[in-house]
Amino acid sequence: MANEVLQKLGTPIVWADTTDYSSTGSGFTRTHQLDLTGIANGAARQGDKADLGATRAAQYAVVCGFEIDVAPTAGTLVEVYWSSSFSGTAGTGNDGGASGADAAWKAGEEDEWKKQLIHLGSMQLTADASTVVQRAVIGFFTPPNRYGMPIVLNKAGQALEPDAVEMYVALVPIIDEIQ
Amino acid sequence: MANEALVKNGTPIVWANSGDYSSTGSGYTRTHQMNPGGLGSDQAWQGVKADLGATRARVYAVYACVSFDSSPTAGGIVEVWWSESADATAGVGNTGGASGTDLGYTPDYEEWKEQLRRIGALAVTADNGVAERQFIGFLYPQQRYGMPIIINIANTDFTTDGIERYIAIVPLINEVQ
Repeated sequence: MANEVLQKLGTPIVWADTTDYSSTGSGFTRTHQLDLTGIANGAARQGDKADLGATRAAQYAVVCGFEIDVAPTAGTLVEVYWSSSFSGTAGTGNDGGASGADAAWKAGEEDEWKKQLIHLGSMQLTADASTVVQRAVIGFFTPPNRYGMPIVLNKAGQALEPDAVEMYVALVPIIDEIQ
Repeated sequence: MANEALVKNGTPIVWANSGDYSSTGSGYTRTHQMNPGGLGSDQAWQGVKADLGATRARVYAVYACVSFDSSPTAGGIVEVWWSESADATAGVGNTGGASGTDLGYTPDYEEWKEQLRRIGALAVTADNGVAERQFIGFLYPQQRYGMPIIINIANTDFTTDGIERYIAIVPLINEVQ
């Protein structure tokens, strides 16, 4: 008998700031730490290392929410990358020199080191300042390993919002299911 | 009853140097020999032939880690290629003229690499003696046996020690729950 293979959503893995993130606007519940508060133009921030699970989805949707402090030029970007790892230890085996902890990443060398990361996608911004939250599915990807962490590089030409109430990076598992 | 179809890691196959490789920085345990210690720029090196198994994963995640003797110019690369074979004997049936042993690869690599499968390239930063790790790409092996070949196009020699250097392929196994 033939069986259809359909898809369903798993539980999202959501990087956001523990201090002030609110799920009200996004519907995503925070699971891991990433403080995007006030990230300057040209600077990058890395999140805590996450465990995608010994068994995991083959594909994830990457969904982001960002808020820019001062209206950027339309079409500028916030770039999002992935550092993968075989190890569950924060600082071990991470691509692109990531630390596995919520911190600034490779200050002054971002454009050099980002080439060793997986580019998940970029959010193309509108010319809207804070109070307007910009959300997008920026890509789909297949994680090459069990562990990993996102890295957000601000190329908006403006700083991110001084609070992180609405900002997050979410991986939504898209699980194949045999009927 | 519906069953989820998920993915899990298998046991990585890791090429590194038996003399001095340490898994401390990577978490990967060495399984096969490959020692391109001090490999010069515009030179290539091959690892020993590995058996991926009579039954094996459909796809593998390929990782590379290198470090340099002096700071290279950012933008240089280290290319990673794959030679395949249907035969377990080291020197038999290898694509692209690979030997199946831990050895320098032909100086004519620019010519011969076109007979290999290109996995990807590590983008080098301008850092000296720093372990540079990168997911290189996905490998879909077409044969049971194979070996990696790396080409240094970074304009700087590799470090002579192999403490941090490896090529790892991580089986990504589909599993019905």
